Amino acid sequence: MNLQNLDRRIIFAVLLIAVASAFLFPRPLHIAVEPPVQMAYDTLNKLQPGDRVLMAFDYGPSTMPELQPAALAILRHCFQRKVKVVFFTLTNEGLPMIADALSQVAVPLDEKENVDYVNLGFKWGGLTGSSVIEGLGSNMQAVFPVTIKGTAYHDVPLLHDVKNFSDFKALISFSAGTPGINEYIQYANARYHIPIVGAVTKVTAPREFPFLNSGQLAGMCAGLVGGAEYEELIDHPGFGMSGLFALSIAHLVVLGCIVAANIIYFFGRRQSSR
Amino acid sequence: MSHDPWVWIAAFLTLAIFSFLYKDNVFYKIAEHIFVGVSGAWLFATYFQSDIVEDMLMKSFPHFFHRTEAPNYITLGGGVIGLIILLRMVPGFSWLSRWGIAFVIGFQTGLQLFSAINAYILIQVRAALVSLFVPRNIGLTIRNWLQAGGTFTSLSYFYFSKEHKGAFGVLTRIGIWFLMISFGAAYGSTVMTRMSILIGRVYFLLSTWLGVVRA
Repeated sequence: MNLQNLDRRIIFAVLLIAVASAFLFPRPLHIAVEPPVQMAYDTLNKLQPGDRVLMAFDYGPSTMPELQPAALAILRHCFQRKVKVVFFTLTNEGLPMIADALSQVAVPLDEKENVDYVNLGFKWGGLTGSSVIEGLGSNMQAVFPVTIKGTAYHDVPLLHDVKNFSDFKALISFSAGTPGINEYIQYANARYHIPIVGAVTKVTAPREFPFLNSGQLAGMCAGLVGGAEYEELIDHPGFGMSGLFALSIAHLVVLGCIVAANIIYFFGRRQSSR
Repeated sequence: MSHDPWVWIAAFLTLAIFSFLYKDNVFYKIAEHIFVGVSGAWLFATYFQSDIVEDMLMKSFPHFFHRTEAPNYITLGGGVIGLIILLRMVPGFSWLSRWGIAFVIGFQTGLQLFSAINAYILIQVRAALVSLFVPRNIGLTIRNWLQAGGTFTSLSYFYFSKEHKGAFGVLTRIGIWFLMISFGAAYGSTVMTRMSILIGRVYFLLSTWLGVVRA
């Protein structure tokens, strides 16, 4: 068989078997926590009981494996510190993500809706979410007059004295693109100076490092790895940890394919030159 | 194995989408059409609730929604502008749609101008001005040199008013190296993201659906 014309479906199958094997025969991995994740943890660990944070779930099912581990770990950390959480999303795909996070973390921890947390739901703020973010900076009630369950803003105990960003200690953005973390940096941080902690997909992470460097981001978890690192910090292993072993195996397969393809190409070229 | 019918539907759709990797087939087509239909319906329902009901009708006519606050008729203005944009489909009045589009563009430009310059230029320029010698911290000194050098040489590469030859050519070639390293990091991150998505679906199949892996 000519290896240079190897059916790509064989590579797909090998990759699938490798990933499945990693889940069927898991091995514990030592995780070294990177500085951006440590910064995120330290920022949130300084919060006092009763402090409030905003959590924006701006991602959907397609990026759930990357962002949900960080979202669950950070939410758990906040509830452990008795921090009150206000959820919202600028993308309609974020609604089921919030519901999933609440069922996995808030319900088992017996957190009370409208007292310990409240879900304000989805609001379309244009392609960049600017109108909603600006609105949250001036008058939150005007943007979200009711919660996702239809409760009036002024009837929610957690929101009684909440007017705008100045009533929150941090904004935590789980972001898969636009609108997302860059818009919060642009509008919420640059104008209203609210500290921003982010969890982003690995593909968007490189463009966020300058903001981390400039202090516009107070911490960042990038991709599945970032989620696993945060799970390590709060000592609560979840999908991030188990997924990380599978990710390592998948990367070994990809690296093996790259090396093998180069060797095959090199020898194939030598043979054809003869 | 799961007894939840929705999990079975999700597993079928996952496998149907994956089956495209073998070749195009009827199961993939079914999953693709369901995805497009459901996405469209979900999009319409959530946007209608958010924009038309909550932002316009509920604020303009709160009593219809058993709410006590005073009506805010100015929110009807957004609906009027929306209708003006839709006039593009009405022959003879299509020119009016430009007014609505002009309003939206003008509003967005005004809103973005200050914050974009502030967040993406001024603060970033300030952060790029680093000390090239940090006493008793060789690590930070090297990092700052790399940051300043990378910024300067990469920007030099995009300066096209001078031919990239001689000393300036060397500078721009160093800039290319910095750019290539950043592109490589971005590509590696992209692979990582795609793998994570695969891992998520495999985990769902093995754990939530088949139950052979402990959740």
